[in-house]
Amino acid sequence: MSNTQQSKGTKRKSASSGRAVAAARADRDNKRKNIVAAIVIVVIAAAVFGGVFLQKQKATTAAQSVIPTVTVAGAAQYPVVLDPATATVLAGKPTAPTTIDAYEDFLCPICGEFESANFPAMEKQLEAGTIKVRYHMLNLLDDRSTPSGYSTMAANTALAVAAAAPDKFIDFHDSLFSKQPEENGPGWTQAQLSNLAGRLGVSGPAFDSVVNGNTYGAKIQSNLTAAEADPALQQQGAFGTPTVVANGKVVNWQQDPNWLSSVVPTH
Amino acid sequence: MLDTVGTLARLGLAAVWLVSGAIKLADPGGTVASVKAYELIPDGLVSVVAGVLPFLELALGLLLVLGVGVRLVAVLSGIVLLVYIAGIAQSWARGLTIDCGCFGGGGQVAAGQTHYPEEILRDTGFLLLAVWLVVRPRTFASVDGWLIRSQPEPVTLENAS
Repeated sequence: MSNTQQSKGTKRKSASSGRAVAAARADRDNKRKNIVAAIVIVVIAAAVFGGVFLQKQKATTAAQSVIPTVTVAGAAQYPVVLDPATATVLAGKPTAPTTIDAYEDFLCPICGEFESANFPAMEKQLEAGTIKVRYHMLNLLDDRSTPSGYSTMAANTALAVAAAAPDKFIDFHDSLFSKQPEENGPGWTQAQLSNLAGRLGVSGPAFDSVVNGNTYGAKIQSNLTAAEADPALQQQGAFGTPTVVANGKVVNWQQDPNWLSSVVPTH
Repeated sequence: MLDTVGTLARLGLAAVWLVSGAIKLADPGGTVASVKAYELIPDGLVSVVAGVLPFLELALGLLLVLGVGVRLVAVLSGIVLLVYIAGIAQSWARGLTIDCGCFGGGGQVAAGQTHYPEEILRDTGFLLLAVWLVVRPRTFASVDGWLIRSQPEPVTLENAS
């Protein structure tokens, strides 16, 4: 009898302690669930803020960097003239028999390749008076910078240089192609472009008014539209930059490294 | 059986996030271009969003691989996927011609080169994986299981005796 009672008592006691253990475990599991949820939130927040931080840091580094200057000593030997009506720049001695038209965008990487591959040879011919080069600075890749519009801004600034100090255009042009910003990045800011012009010795009201008024922005755009519609400028069914035209014919400079000597008249 | 399906869903969704996140991280310029092509976010914020997306995707993938907070991560994954699907759908509706840039690529494409239905279908498939894990987050080999369910069910002495 007493045995049975004792046994019952033990059973009751164990049952309640079982419930207590279960409750304790559930309690501990809930605590752990909260910890896991906290870990998830911390990891996601770290990813988001880390991403923002890295992006801001990259932007700050880019904004603080300075575009190196490239100066072309021989550029003083031939005239450089801005034609404000067409927003093009003509470099070379007036007597030069061959005219090369270069359609370029300051953001376009292949334009940079064209410049680095061909500039020394073209410069030699410019100085020798055998060729003239007409630069058409376009904004084909305006939407390839973030914010959009680097191409227009760079082209307008180059034309501002040509308006204020035409002989410095070649320096500015070559500096900007020697150190191009990445596509889809922010591009150089107007401050960085103006700073480059300043270090090349170009500043003053004539420069500022073109920069501040985006004087050639609309003309750069209409030049692009005209070039895209011009059948004579198409390559593989479309207009692209760079397009190089010599004596009215598109030059295949990528496949023909000797294109320049073939368009320069032999003496 | 259901745990096996859940485990496959978890690892599958993890692979999706890790692969797409890694591709985006490797090509920041392309990611900026893809985000921009949706024409939804102001210019000043595009690069920030493009800078965050790869890390967000990699974080979701990492948490899923480890099985940390599967249900919560599946909910977050679902939200991100819904945002992506909405982005693709609005591009389609507005007549933009873009590639979703879901796994690299992205940006403008020619008018005949869009794949909106396929892209939406694919993302909906990923969304189903996430939904499964929200409904039934139990899977094998997860940190969750190790932390929370590894202990045997509480056994009362009544049952034992």
